[in-house]
Amino acid sequence: MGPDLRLLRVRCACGWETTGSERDVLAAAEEHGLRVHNMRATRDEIMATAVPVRREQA
Amino acid sequence: MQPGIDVAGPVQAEIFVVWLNGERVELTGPCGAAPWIIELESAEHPVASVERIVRDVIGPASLVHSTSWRRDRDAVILSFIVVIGAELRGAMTSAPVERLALARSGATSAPTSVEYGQVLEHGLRHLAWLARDDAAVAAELSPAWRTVLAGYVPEPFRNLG
Repeated sequence: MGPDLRLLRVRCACGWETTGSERDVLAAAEEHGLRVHNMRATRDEIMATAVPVRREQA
Repeated sequence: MQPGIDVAGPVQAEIFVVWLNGERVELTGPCGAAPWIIELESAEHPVASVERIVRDVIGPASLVHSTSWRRDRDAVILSFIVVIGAELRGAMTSAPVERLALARSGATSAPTSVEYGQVLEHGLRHLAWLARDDAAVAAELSPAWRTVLAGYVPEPFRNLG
C-alpha cells in the first residue's frame, strides 16, 4: 500500500512534530512557530517540509 | 530525515532555560535540554521578546539576561540565560549542566568553533559575575543559586565568535 497523501507530517528543527491533514498540520505548525519560536512560517515554507506518511505510521 | 521548519531570521535569540535541582544546575526548555531558538524582530527589544515568549510558553522567569553574542546559523545570535523556579519545569525534559572549557577567541579573531555547552558555560560564568556585581540579579538569586554560582569563574559579557 502506498503512502496516504492526505496524511502529512511536519517537523520543527527543535524536535517538535505534528501529523494530520494538510489543514491540521498547517495550523499546528503555524501556531508552534509563532508561539514557541516567534517565527511566522508561511504556508509554502511549512508545506516544503511536509512529508506524506502511511496511516499506520501516524 | 526531513529537516523541518526552522528559525531563519537575521537576528535570533538562543535561550538557555536553567533551574536548580537541589544543588545542581539543569538545562530545560520546550525544546528539551537544549538551546531554544527564537526569532527576534526589530520592533521589540530582544530582552522583552525573550521575557514575553518565556512567560507565554513556560511561565514567569526569575531572571532573563543576555550573556554573549556570536555569528552562527547565518545570523547574529544573542545568547540568554533564563532562570526559572523548579515549579515551572513541569514535564519539560531536563538534564544536568556539565562543566566545559570555554571557546576562546584569538587576539583579533573569533573562535574557530563554539559548542552550545561552551556558550552555556560562559553564560553561567556571566551569571556568577552578575551575582557579585548586580544588585538586581543578586536579589533574585536564592542562597542556593549563589552557592552554586560561586563555583563558576565570574566573567562579563563576551563576543564568542
